[in-house]
Amino acid sequence: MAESEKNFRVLSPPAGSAFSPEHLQYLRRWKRDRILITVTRWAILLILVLGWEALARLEWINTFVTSQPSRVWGVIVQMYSSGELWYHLGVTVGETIAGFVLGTLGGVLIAILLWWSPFWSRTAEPFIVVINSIPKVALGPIFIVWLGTNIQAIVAMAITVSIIVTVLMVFTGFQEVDENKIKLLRTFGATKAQVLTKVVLPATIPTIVGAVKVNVGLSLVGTIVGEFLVAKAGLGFLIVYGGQVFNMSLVMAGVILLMLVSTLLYYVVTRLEAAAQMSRAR
Amino acid sequence: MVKQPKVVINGLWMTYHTLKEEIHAIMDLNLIIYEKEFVSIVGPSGCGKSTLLSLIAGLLRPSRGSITVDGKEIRAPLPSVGYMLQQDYLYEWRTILQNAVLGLEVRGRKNPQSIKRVIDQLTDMGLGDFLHSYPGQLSGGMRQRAALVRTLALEPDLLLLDEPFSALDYQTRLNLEEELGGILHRLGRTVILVTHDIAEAISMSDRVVVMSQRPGTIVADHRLDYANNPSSALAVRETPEFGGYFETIWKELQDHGGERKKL
Repeated sequence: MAESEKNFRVLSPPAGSAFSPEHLQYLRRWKRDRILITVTRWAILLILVLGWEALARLEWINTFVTSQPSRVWGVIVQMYSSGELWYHLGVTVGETIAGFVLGTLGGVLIAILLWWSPFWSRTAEPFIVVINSIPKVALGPIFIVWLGTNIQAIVAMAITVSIIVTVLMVFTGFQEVDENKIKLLRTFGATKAQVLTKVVLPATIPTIVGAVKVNVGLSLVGTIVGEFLVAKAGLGFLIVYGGQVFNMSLVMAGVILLMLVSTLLYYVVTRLEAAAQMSRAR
Repeated sequence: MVKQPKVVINGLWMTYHTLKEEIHAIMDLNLIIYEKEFVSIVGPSGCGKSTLLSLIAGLLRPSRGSITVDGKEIRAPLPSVGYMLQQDYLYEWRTILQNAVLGLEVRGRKNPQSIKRVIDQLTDMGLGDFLHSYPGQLSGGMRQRAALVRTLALEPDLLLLDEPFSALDYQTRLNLEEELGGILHRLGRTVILVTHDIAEAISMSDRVVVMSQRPGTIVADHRLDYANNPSSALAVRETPEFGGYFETIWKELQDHGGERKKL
């Protein structure tokens, strides 16, 4: 949406210049298509929800297995009035942000250490490849044994899922910095720390922002898996608990809230990325 | 007046090692460059000219032999040596002014007076309206001017120029040669210019040194003399001597441009 709006602005001629009839027609058609797409999107969503509700009311589907939108809504409203809604949302979002921030910072830090020492980056390579290739979720039980069935284990899960990807992305970014930009700084007698802070890090900001974007999603995956395994609170807990007691309305409510959370987090990060790009490419 | 040696290169060898082979980039090179001389080094591409500049700048250590600047052996980049690369390499996340003070920043010499001086220099170069612009908004010539100010900000007395005009179009290039030649002669600095453009070498310098194909060494050394002292880089191109020098150096490059036998 934001992208197409930007295109639209680019298409507008500078103030005072006249549109040709062809151009006016083009703009009109473009605008019409945009409205049509938006309307269709909402229509699809509405048909899905209303169809689901209608099939449930006509008893064509078994609501014990599928639940129905009105009941899911009822669950959400009830959680809202009891204050549980914000509590579970807060737990999941908090764990995700903790995992995401620690995973990203840790990953960038490790990437810096590897960049600093070519000996260690060469030595560490096979270890990183192996760790990267394991499904991190498989480490869950280890964290539970080590850290207990608590929030630490969940955050550890979220960190593990995001940290190695960050190391790989950012370290690759460091290596792709133009050699000559580094050479230039060295002609001024720059120390290694100066090379890092004045060229390598600023030049890699787009890559780091890219890693941040990926990590938000990954940390959420780690958090939900962690909650599945150990939690007594959070959206992952609601979903897994609802499943165990065959309360499908609760499961569906959990999934829908999770969709909202992940969309929100993704939106925040996209805004951050846009801000970072603005401050560079002026 | 007795000329003081500024840079003394003695029995210099530079060898690069890869797993498969060792490459001799520079072989037994000897050269003395005097105070306030403007020396051009010409040679075929890949002859080790840029390596030579990196060695003088202290970015690389020689495999054998020594390089001294002002009588002291080079071990690390000196504050008194300025280096201009083939492209401007302005950092796109810094404004023109922030780029121009980069060297001062690294050397810990950024203060209100030095910043003021850089602003004045940028203004002299016609960049006064672009202090707070980003490099992407400037033309190639303007960017290279900003890079020049960045180099001059540290007030180096020895300047190393590594084909600084090669990325520019011909018109801009002639203008910048003219401009830079004027500035450097006025400042009276020692300059070593590396180029593969013979006309550029002759028009800008007092002396042209010719290097052979790799492994590079010096095959000719010309001190340029003119009957009527030309006033600028462009004026040199108009002198009767220009054609003769061009032809001689052209021939020398032809004779030594081919691949040489391995040692």
